[in-house]
Amino acid sequence: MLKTRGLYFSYRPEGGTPFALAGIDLEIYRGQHTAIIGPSGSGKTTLLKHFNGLLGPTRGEVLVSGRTTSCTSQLPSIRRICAMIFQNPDNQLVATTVEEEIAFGLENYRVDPKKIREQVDWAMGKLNISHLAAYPPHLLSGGQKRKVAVASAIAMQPQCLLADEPSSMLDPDSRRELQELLRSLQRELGLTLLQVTHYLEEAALADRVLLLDRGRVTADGPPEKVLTDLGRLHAAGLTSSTAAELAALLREEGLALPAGIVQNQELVDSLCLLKPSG
Amino acid sequence: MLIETERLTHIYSPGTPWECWALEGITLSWKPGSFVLIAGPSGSGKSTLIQHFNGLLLPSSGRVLIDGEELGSDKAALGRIRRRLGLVFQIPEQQFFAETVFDEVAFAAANLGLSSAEVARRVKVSLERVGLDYEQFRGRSPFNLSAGQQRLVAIASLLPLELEALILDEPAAGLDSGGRRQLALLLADLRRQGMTVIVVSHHLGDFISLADQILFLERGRVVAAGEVEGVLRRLAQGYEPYLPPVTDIMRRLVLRGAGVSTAVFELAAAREEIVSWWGGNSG
Ligand SMILES: Nc1ncnc2c1ncn2[C@@H]1O[C@H](COP(=O)(O)OP(=O)(O)O)[C@@H](O)[C@H]1O
Ligand SMILES: Nc1ncnc2c1ncn2[C@@H]1O[C@H](COP(=O)(O)OP(=O)(O)O)[C@@H](O)[C@H]1O
Ligand SMILES: [Mg+2]
Ligand SMILES: [Mg+2]
Repeated sequence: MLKTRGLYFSYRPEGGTPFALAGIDLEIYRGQHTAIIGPSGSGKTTLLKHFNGLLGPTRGEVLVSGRTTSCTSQLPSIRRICAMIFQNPDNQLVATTVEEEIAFGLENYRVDPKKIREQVDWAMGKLNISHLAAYPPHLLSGGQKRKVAVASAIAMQPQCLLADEPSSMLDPDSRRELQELLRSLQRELGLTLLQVTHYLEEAALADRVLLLDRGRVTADGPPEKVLTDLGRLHAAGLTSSTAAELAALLREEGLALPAGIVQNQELVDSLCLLKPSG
Repeated sequence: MLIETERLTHIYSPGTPWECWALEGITLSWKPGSFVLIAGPSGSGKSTLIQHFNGLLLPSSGRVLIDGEELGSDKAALGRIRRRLGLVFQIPEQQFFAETVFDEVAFAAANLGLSSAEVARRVKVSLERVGLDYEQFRGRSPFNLSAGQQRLVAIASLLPLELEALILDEPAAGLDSGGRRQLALLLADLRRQGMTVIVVSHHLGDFISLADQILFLERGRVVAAGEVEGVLRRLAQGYEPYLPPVTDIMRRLVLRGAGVSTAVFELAAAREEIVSWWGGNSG
């Protein structure tokens, strides 16, 4: 579905700054939910922007469903395949009502107005925001703005969603709600979901986790493996989830906990199951 | 800096279809040198509240008092307050204006009438305190940094001032775990120097070990306020997702009948508590 070959990228190719992406070879499969983690400045946003052609490689190649992003005539179709949800939703809002906002992308593609209406209504329904159709987007709460951004993206009926820290401004309840929503869209519509997150508890729900460090992929695998590789995470300046960190401390104390603990409840279940009865 | 409000109410767009009661009768009093966490669902009024502390917003009714002096429309008094109390916005980009990180951080210091060598020294120290390398970042545009780096620059730009109080609106959003740890260390340092620090955060866990006080809002009203332990006990009844992760693990253990304390927020303390329960006979 998405592929990079020998991808290098510099914001100033004439030199002076290190590569923001320094040799990335990746293949993301159709329908997969991949979480990208990494310290601030490691290149997560830069990588995501390569998959819908907002940025083009300095060296190497990026392929979206077999189309190269280096060919500008392919960009319109690539952007319909891969829809992006940006880090800061305010930068994405352009219209005066929620429904115009969601229709905006489709109008750019000169989709038939009747079809636009249908897809906008469908997207608002999916996100439970039909009641906000006539509301000015800039007066919405952070969580609601996020939902509008997701609705705008899925209204395009993309095959792939690129979500850049969609939950970083949200409270815990809205975060969980958004996470469940993205998951169900991914399952129901067969979407490929590529999501950047700083919350490793959230990354734990993905099929696959990529760790980015200084423009390179330094770990790639299922969450229970990448998120419990504390050595590598610490080397990148990150800590794992609280449960994974606490499990490691308890193992040092001689508690025989199983490997692969990432979530609070997993730790609690293991502790209660394994505690020697006194 | 003593920060107080009396029955503070704030109404946005009164008399329009979008009228919104963002704060309803909030009364609070925070002693100088306090470290306060403000939490609550989005839309609960956190950002609205803190913008009253430096007069960016004025009450619809009720009062805000800084060191006993009521904040009103007196421009000179507001100017004096803003030199003593710094505010870092939720979206730092909105407060940038300079072409380089150096100029951004130097701006406030230069306004104090310091020599250019002293300004440069303060800029270097400020950037290093937030964990940004001076040589690497001084010439960069603040607008072209990653979101986490932008937040650190916004904080650094206030450090050259000798502030008495610092208020940060969701400073941890967009920061990685290393950045959150670095920020907690910096805030601990400021607190040791006697600064009053107020942090809005959904994630109580990041700064809980520094806090004296928590204020938890919902729909413009106070759900719980006061010392940390009491507030966390209240949040454990219906607001569980807001608990610090360590406290949540302890709470889940207690639900399974384990004899551990829930008044634990840090990894090291949790390890001790669990090890002693594991070795003991109870539960
Ligand atoms: N528009 C830009 N111009 C120049 N450098 C940039 C720009 N955007 C990001 N960078 C730099 O590229 C690197 C990677 O940034 P980014 O992809 O935003 O990181 P992340 O999303 O992982 O925090 C960082 O060092 C950042 O400062
Ligand atoms: N400029 C504004 N105009 C109208 N309503 C606003 C404005 N800013 C915030 N609100 C509303 O006030 C309430 C509180 O918002 P805010 O203080 O931003 O909450 P929080 O920071 O806790 O997320 C919300 O319902 C929000 O929609
Ligand atoms: Mg980013
Ligand atoms: Mg806010």
